[in-house]
Amino acid sequence: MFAPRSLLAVGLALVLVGPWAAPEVQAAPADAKSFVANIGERALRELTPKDISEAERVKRMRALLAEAFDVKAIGKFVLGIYWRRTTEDQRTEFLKLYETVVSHSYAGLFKKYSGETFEVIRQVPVAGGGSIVYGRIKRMNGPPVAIELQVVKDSDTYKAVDIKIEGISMPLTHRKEYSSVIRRNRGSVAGLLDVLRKKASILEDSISE
Amino acid sequence: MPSRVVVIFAAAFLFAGCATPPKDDPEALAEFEKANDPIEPFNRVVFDFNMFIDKLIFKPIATMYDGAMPEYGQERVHNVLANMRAPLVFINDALQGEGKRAGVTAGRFVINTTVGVLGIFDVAGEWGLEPHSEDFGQTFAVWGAPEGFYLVLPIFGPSNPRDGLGLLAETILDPVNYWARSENIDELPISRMLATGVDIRSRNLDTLDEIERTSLDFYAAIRSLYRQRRADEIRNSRPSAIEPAPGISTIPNPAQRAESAALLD
Repeated sequence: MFAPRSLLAVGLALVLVGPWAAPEVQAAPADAKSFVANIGERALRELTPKDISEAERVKRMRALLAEAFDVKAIGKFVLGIYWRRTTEDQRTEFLKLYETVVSHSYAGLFKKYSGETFEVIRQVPVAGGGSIVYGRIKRMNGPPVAIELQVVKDSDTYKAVDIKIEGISMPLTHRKEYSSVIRRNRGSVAGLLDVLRKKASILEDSISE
Repeated sequence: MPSRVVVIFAAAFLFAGCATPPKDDPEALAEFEKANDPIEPFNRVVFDFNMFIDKLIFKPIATMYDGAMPEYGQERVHNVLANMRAPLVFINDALQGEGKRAGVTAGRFVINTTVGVLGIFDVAGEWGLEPHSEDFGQTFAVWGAPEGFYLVLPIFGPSNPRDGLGLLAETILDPVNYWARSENIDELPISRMLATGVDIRSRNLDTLDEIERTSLDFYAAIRSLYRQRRADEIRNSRPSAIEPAPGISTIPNPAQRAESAALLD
């Protein structure tokens, strides 16, 4: 807000220095908007190249997830009413497996993109803290894809706690899906963990060849 | 033949019956009710049937089309189909009292049908008239009709009584089909429907594959995706009154959180 020019300079510097050196030089974003702009640009730059292996793509997504998202808060939301019914060990395992599945899922979604750009439109404060940043992925062909990120301040940086693509919240979709799996396993979180473990290992095997 | 299909689905409904709610667990029961799927076993049977037909017929055709037709051609086909839908979109814009959006749709139809050569080129889009979609299901929702329960329709897929009725209204009232029938161009409605099916399926090949690959319960994922997407379409992508918050800790008041969660579902 105060210094759009210096923001531009930081953004430009990030682009010039490139994705590999970026984490070391990345300054704390000035506001939620520039934080989201950075994630969007970084995701498109790092996850869309056609010449990287799937293992590399997933690895990059995993790093982005750990850095820019509050995976614990999202995982807690996804388990919903069942979070309180899980042991500490189960929670740790759930978060680890969930991170793996989500990394594969987003890496897969970005894979088909090429030549898109990301732009941030506006930022709206949320009651109780944090803000929602509205943006979109502009494509060469076809209409833009609406993206919404809810972010909260986390000490000197920000973390995303919700992501919506075309109005569809990914954490909410997972919450609905996973609670269905739990219900079909007679209310057992252990049952969900079994299914998650199998899924995570299938996904990991698919990129290890 | 159609009556036989009806019999098969009636039988599936009787055999599959209704979902068993977790009655002894109030919290889980609340979650179950929020999924809005009382006839889940039946829906799952139809969903599996649809997946079977998709893998057998629709997906191979869409994959072939996607492989054989260059992206440029696919865009042109999509534009023509979208343009033929414009009169229907216009009617629904108007019925929802969305004057400005109705104006955009009318402008798009006139410009793209003429300058854009029967809709092949989205000239209006380049001039700043961005496309949007509407249907009778959304109009009924705007009028206050409730969603009803989640319903998987054979072939057509995820729906609910409100959207199902909308689909029926659409097949009867679509202005372009209406015109085609009056001019005795009977091939147009059916070939248009088939082309639309191929267009939609080919545009979703990667995304659906990806969701299926990474989901634990594909049926439940699609159910949630459909319901959220429809809610967003009905709001015309405007933000909802209370924003949902997976960052649970960011909303201090549990009552407010419960309210936002209820709205969300």
